[in-house]
Amino acid sequence: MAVTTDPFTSTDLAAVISETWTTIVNEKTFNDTVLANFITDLSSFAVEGSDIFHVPDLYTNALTVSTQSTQGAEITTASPAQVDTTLTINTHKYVAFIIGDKDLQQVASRYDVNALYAREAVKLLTEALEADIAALWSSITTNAIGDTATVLSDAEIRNGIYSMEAGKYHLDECAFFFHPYVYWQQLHAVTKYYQQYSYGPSNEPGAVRTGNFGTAGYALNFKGFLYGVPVYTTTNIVSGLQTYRNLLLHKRAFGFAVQTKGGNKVRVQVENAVRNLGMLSVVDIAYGVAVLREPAAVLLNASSAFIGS
Amino acid sequence: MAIKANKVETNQQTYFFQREDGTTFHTNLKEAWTIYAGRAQKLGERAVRPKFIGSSDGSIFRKAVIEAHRIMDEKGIEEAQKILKEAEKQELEKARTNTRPPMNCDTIDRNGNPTSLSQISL
Repeated sequence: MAVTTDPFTSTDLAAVISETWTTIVNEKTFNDTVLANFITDLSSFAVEGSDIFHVPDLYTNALTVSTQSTQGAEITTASPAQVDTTLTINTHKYVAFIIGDKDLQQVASRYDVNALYAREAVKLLTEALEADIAALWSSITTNAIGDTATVLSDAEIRNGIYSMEAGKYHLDECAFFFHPYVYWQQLHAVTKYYQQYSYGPSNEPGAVRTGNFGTAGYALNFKGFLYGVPVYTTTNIVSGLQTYRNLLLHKRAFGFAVQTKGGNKVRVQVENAVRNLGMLSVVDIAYGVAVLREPAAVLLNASSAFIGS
Repeated sequence: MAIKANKVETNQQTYFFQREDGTTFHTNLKEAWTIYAGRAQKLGERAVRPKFIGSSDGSIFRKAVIEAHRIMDEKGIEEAQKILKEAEKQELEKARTNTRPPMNCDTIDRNGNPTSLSQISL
């Protein structure tokens, strides 16, 4: 005869079974900053005020070479018209939240909710700047490669690099910015990027790549080098009609300036708002982004309707 | 590189613009608002605004992606790509009939949607 006929159930013990809130918090994930770290930063010029920043363009109309065909003849001088290019700081974004004093007092002491949300707000605004830089793709018309129906291929990669070199831009001042989808699903399907018989001995830098996709690590979304040009990934690369607008940029192609009050890129302000009986946090950033040198950028369109295999 | 059919994304409202040189391009809502609000600067011209053409719901392109995937196995990638390019043109023509400007994305809710339901004209 069984003697254990009526064991306690968890329901019976509900009054004494405890629950624990861990110190771990699942926070929102963000891209690392890659575009703003690479392109031309004019922020240092914005410290002392102004809303418009001029970057004179001497390349559109350049000096010309003349030949002295008749010795002793009067020379012809050149006076190319300069083009005034400017960047305007025209965007002020913020994230704001308030937590009532009672609630704040009752939140478990292990959770610094204000700090957690402030950190999230800073990253949101940093990503907003990145997204606005990536959105400059629509101004690229000189070097636009591929369309809404193409899978990014090695030929297009080489065509992009060629466009840069044809424009006499130093390749050591350029970088690729791919959407992760394009990097993993299309670029890594190009056999010459991963098969040793194509790219040569692994202990020697070959023509296809220096460094390696594999050994570069993933810190700061840096994925190594392709044909000697650094490769970064970010989901801020713009998409529309299943088309990713990947970029190959010279560092002078795009520019930005941050002019947030206080001197930092992002400002965090917290105050005890008496009239609201709560703690008000406001995080803000003021900036402008612009295409400074359109021919120094290559647009690499890639459709997500297809996958390389 | 062998190419296979991949995903069919949910169709989204797509906004078309025309550059000064006559070429057109399409964007998603947030990017469209940035351009429409004159915040995308190029070559020093202040508040360059490509001409807004209109928007379409992207359903033609979505159907075309499904059709392209089907055609790919039968007729190859080139035929599939033709279908997508044609669908993009059709989306553009459809957009010409809906010239409501993009919604104001300066303030968005927790899902990333504009909080202002009114169509703001600048």
